[in-house]
This record gives sequence, structure tokens and C-alpha cells, in this order.
Amino acid sequence: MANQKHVKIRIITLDSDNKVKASTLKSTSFKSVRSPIGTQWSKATC
Amino acid sequence: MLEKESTCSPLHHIAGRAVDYVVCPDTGRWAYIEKGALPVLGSASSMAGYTEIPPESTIYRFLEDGDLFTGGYSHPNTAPLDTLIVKLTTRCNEACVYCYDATERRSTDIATADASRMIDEALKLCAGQLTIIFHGGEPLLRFSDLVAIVTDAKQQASRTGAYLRFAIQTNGSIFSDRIVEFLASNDFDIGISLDGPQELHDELRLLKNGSGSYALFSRHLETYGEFIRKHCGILTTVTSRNAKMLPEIVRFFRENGFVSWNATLFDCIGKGSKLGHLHVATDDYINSITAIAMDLAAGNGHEIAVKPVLAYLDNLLLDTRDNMCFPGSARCGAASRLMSIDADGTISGCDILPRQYSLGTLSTGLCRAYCSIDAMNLRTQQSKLDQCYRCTWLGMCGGACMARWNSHYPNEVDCRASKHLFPYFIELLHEDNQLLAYWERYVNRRRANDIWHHNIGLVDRP
Repeated sequence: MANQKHVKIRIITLDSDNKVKASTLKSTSFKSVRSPIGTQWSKATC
Repeated sequence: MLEKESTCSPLHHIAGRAVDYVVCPDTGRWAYIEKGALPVLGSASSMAGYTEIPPESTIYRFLEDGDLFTGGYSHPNTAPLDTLIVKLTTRCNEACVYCYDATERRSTDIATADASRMIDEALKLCAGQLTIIFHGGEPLLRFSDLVAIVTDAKQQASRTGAYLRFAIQTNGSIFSDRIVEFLASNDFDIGISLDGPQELHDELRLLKNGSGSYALFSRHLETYGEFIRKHCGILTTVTSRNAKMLPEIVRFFRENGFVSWNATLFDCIGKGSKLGHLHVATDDYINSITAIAMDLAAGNGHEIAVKPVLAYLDNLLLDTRDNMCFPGSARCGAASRLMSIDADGTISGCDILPRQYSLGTLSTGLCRAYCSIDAMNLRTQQSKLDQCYRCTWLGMCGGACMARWNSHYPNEVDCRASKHLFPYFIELLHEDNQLLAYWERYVNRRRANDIWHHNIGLVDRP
């Protein structure tokens, strides 16, 4: 049921005309996200 | 439902040790920024530690469009009740010197019928899912009552159609075949309170005869090792005695086959109110966490989920940035997503809030306490904490802990640590190391049971 999620760590740079652009420095994708519940009590592998 | 937030505060530009970055204090979104780009972006004014970039800057387009991150959304500030702490007893078979829950008052148990009644009310307040956390004292001292309460709760939930989860915090000293089978069959989330290897643990976690309590846990580990290692997470109370030793503590639990470790800071309440010397020095805590992180970044020790590290990485990398104490919403969950029932029947918004913030008693009832003016004031106060005003990291951390900013806590370690560790992790993520791979390993495992996301609609978006 989980959606594919993407994380991009971006860096903002300037091109030769001093225009702002964003490039991907690192990226990853995953299928699940953290639970909205619990901290120390949540599942061992969470 | 997710809410679209408009970003209107200035961005904060921070010149880091090796890399510069911008942070949106409202949403927690951030990005690295090329050195030298700041003048082009039109900085407004230099503040202590950062330079403001005005909302009309081009950079806002990247944040608003989700071009820097997939987000543009954050949690709503309020959410329905989804967690209830039930303290079954003040009794404990151990006598930890700093126990935050122990008082001078006589031992008290909440009546089984009262606990069930509170859970019944919580099921009416929740929006279809509820986690019940059994706490104490030592909750497993009342195992037969626990069985009755859980059985009744499941019946109540089946009538209302609510989805129930159970969790328990135990000292791990009184497992038995029946207990283990019950906890496993009811899919309990289990936390075991251990402060490190035996010599560290036994300094402060004592039995009533004054001897250390680790041997009791060790005995059960021999018998139920597979269950404990597979199903239980370790929770270490950090005091001045072990704060410098956290890397060694993590290594110890990892080498002994445990798969999850978390830390909670010593609270100056209960018996701990007279033990100010156990208060943690912020630098000791920061140095320990950074040492653990550096080891993970070097590719070592990925077999154990170090939750304090993962929490920082989650809030840096996920577009839904959780409150650091209570994941699932952006702000403190006290009196909104969380309610707590003490063994003497006192109802509060969070179990570590001082008693002057209590919201009622068993005779008040949970629903009335939850809907009271005091509870609403508590929820309102959370968003007005002066300490968080104009803080760069508010969007990432979710705000200061109300309990720990109380006068009982003269030195708020969580907050100071976060102000150091968020920048630290931003710099560490920029380097070529294994930290992102470590985070990937655990983010993919979070909650096989997606019913929470499916039902609440809090996290996943098409």
C-alpha cells in the first residue's frame, strides 16, 4: 500500500548568468515512511 | 489531511564549516547553497548565526514548487487522540535511584475496571486507531490484569471498528513463558529499560536490597534471548554517569544481537528531583551522538537502529517532519494526540508534565479532560513557546518540550543538542560517506503495517 517516495538532497547554484538553479547532490527512493505513532515503543526495526 | 502551508518567513542562510545551506524555519525544508550565491539572492540582514533571505527571493520558488524536496506540505498542528499511556501501577520490583515515576506517596494500582473505562473513552475520542502504552512502575507486575485489560480493549475496539496497537515499557526482569507468548501474540511493541553494560546499568538501576538489577535481565536473556532480541528495543536513560559512554553502550547492545536502541534524557522529577548531579551536560550528549554518527558514516555498526540518529536524519530527509519527541505530527502531542492516565487516576496530557498541568481524575473522565479548557490551553501554549521564536530549526524539530522547559529543567539539553546536531548532520550528509545508506536501510523497514498511513492519510500522497 505504500507509495514510492523519493528524497533528493539538492544544492542551489548560480549559472553563468547568475540565475539560480538547483541540482541533485544525492538521491534515494524508498517504499515506506515512518509511522505516525510511538517513539521508543515502536517496533524494534522501525 | 495534509495541509498546504505558505512560507512567508525569511529563509535562514547559514555558513557552515565546510558547506553553506539555507533553511526554511517554517517548514524545515533546506538545501545546500553554493558559496558566493548569497549576494545574488539578496540577503536582508545578518542575525546571530545566520543571514536572512527575504521571501521575494528567487530561492522561494524552488521551495514552494517542491523542486528542492518532494514536499511543500507538513503535518497539521492538531490531530486527534491516537495514543494513551496507562500506568498500571506505581509498584516496581526494582528501585532505580532516579525513577521519574516514583514518589513518596504510597503504592497505587489503577483498578482494572477504571483502566478499561479510560480505554473505552479513548476509543471514542480517537479517529479509528489507538495505541495503548502500558507503563508503570513495572507494568508486568500486574500481568493477569494486563491480560484482562487487553482482552477487554480488543472487544471494545471490535465493537467500534477501531484499530488497536499495544506497547509496553518494562525493566525486562520478569518475563515468563506466559508473558512472552502473550506479548508476542498481541504484537506488542516492547521497550526494555537498560542503561548499558552491567557495570553502567547497575550504578543507578538497583534492586531494593541495593544490588544491581542487570543480573535479573541477563537471566531472562538466556531463556528468552531470541524473543527479546527480535521483538524488543532498548531504551537507555541518559544521565551524567553514562552520557559520555553512549557509543560504547550502542556497540555493546549491537554486539549482543539487539536491533534497536533509543535514548531518553534523565528527568529531574520523581526521585530524580533530588539528584541534580545526574543532569546531562549538553556537550557530553552531543559528543556521544556525533561519535555514533561518525561511526555509522564510516560504514560501521549498521546492524542496529540507533533511533536518535535516525530521528535527525528523518527530519532532514523526509518531507513530513515529525516532532522529535512524538512522531506523527509537527508539534508536541501532549493533550492532542497523547493522553496519560497515572496509576492513581490522574489524567494528564503527557506523563512527564508536572502535576499542576493535570487535566482531571477518573471521576472527570477522559473525554471531559480531553475537551477541557485546560487541555485546550495546553495545546495552545505549545505553539507559543518563547524559546522557539525565530529559531532556525523549529520546522525540523517541532518545538520545545513543554515539560522540559518547566522550572524542573533548568538546562534544556534536547533543544541545545538539536541546535547543534541538525547543522552537524547537514554537513555530514554532504560528505561522501555511508550515512545516507544507513538511513535508507531503516526507512525502508518502517512499519510493515501501513494501515496507519492508509487510515490517517497523514503521510502518503499520490
